[in-house]
Amino acid sequence: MTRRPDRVTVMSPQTRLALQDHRSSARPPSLATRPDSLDDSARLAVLLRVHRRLAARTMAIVFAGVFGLPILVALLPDLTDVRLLGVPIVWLLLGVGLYPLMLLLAHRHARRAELVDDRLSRRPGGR
Amino acid sequence: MVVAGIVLVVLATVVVGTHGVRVRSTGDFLVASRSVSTRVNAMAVAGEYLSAASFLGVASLILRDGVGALWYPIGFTAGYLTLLVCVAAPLRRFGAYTIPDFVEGRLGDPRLRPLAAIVTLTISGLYVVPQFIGAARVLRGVTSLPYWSGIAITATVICGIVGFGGMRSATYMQAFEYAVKLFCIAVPAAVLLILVHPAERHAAVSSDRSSFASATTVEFDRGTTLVLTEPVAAAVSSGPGGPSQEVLGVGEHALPAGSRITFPAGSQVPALHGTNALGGPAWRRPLLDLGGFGHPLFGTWSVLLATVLGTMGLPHILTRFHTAPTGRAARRTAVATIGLVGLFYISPPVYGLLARSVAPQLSLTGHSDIVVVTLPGLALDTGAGLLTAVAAAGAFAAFLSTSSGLLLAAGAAVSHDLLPRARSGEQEIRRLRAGVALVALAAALVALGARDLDLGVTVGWAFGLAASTFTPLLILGIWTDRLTSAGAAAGLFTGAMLSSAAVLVTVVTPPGRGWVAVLLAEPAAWSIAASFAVMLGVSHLTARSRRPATGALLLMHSADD
Repeated sequence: MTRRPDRVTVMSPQTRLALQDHRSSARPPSLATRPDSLDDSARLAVLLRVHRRLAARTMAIVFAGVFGLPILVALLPDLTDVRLLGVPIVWLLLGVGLYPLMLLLAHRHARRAELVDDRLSRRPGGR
Repeated sequence: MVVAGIVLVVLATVVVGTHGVRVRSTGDFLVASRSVSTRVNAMAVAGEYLSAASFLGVASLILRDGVGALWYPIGFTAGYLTLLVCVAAPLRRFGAYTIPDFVEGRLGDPRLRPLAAIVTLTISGLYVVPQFIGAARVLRGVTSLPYWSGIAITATVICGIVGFGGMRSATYMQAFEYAVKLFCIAVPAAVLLILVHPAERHAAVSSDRSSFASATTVEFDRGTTLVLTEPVAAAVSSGPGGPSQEVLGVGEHALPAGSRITFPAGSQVPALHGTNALGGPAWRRPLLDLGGFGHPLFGTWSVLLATVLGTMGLPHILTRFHTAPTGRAARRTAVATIGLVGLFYISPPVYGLLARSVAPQLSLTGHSDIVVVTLPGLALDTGAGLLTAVAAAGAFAAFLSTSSGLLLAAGAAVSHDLLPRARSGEQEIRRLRAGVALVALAAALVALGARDLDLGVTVGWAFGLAASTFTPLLILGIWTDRLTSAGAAAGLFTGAMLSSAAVLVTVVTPPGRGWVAVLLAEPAAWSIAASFAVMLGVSHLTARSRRPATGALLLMHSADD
């Protein structure tokens, strides 16, 4: 552990840069290594609970798609005979249609995460 | 024309990569001083991510294995959803540049650095060698230049630019390459769709076995076994004698290397032994039965898991998100990247499907891996040269941008993570430059030696390895306070060993069938689970050595703007 101070300087140029741009008082660089306090633990518990719930909800949709869509395709093998403009509709869904849906899901998640950020991040010395 | 197109892309890359760039600090070199706008950064992420596997591989897999290969780009894109949800903002706020930095900063144990650095190096190496080989195959396929020239060009250009300007150069270069790639994949695809005969368009999506539109001569430069389901009268020459007219009956036909067969117009395209017949029911069904193991649903799931969870473990991609100024910007970058990557992936399947009707012989000869570049020449009489040049230029844009990010990540692993700390910023930058050059040289040598490498296997290995090592580490390190350094080390080791051993066993043993074979060929599903379980289990056993993590977790989950 004697090398610990050295290692902090390895990552600090970036951290320092990032902190300089913003309210550096809101997030002292020592936060990562500061000993736990009761206040911090309570704040973290709330942050983690809300962010985890949001993350779990989005990931549930992702994994429902990852596991569900192949099952759907496997159960309905004649799906390739249903066509739109001559192209099997499943091919169109997989080749084109899923991408806008993923973008929509990502956009919605990011917006909700930002709302959570705004609501929960009133740090001592912050906003 | 083809050479001119490639030279143009290489020159433009050099100009964009070096124009107005001066590196003043390590922060400049590694993360472009974290001042890159969301739009440019998302283009750079997409530009870096869309590699040879995306530009060339997807189309070739569709031609060879079938429509199930559409799941690859879906997984590649969905990987950014996982990255957005699980790591983008927290990892950016934590401020560690490399994964070894994160591991040490979060768990407070410098002993984990070398292990994490070696995994970084392995993933980057498995990913960069196929880029070099792809460059060599494209150059040899469309020009008369020798195999090594593609490798030499790619390695030299990348070393020059990245060594010169680090991440600052790489950012603008990669953002530029995204635009180049999108243009070079989408425009020839659209032109091909418009110009090919309507009957060929129809045959590309038909529900019948594919057939040769005109009499087609196929040269087999490797020993091959063909499977016929209807007899065909063809001119066959195997060996020194001239061609003889033979009727090939239903069943398997083993051909020695060097055979030539001329199939008559309208005859059915035979299948290669062990693969799906072109346009047959298994080819048309959108599931991945790679290698014909007979468990397509499991195969599809495993590939999806490896790509959806592996993307967030790729070191060169994670590094890109550190160039965003805040956690919020990192999230928005991930969202924009999903849009850009998805936009790109609409085009590659067009080549794979059109090749089925225009150039089905490519599925028989093992030359399908550069179908994106060769298809225009086979499909069109006029304008083919220009389209081939455009596609080849786009492929080079893919090799250059992906390799630059990978070499930067691998070079940093050597100089920043494995070596002891530099005494000064200047020494650190000098070392990073040397690290990039060293890794480029090593990768070029491997690429020279491994000509016949199956690029799909190698890139799949990289994704599986990332998904079984860094992904569990990041998820447990960011979202729980349970992880201990012993748990992290045990999990990294287990995941790396299991996913690599499975690939090696599959490569060296003869192809098999059944569950054992498919579990070894597609290890992601169980190796990811094993890595998570070992990390959690060992962390639980060593819970007494757990470091207080409240501060680190607060830092990662509190807004920073």
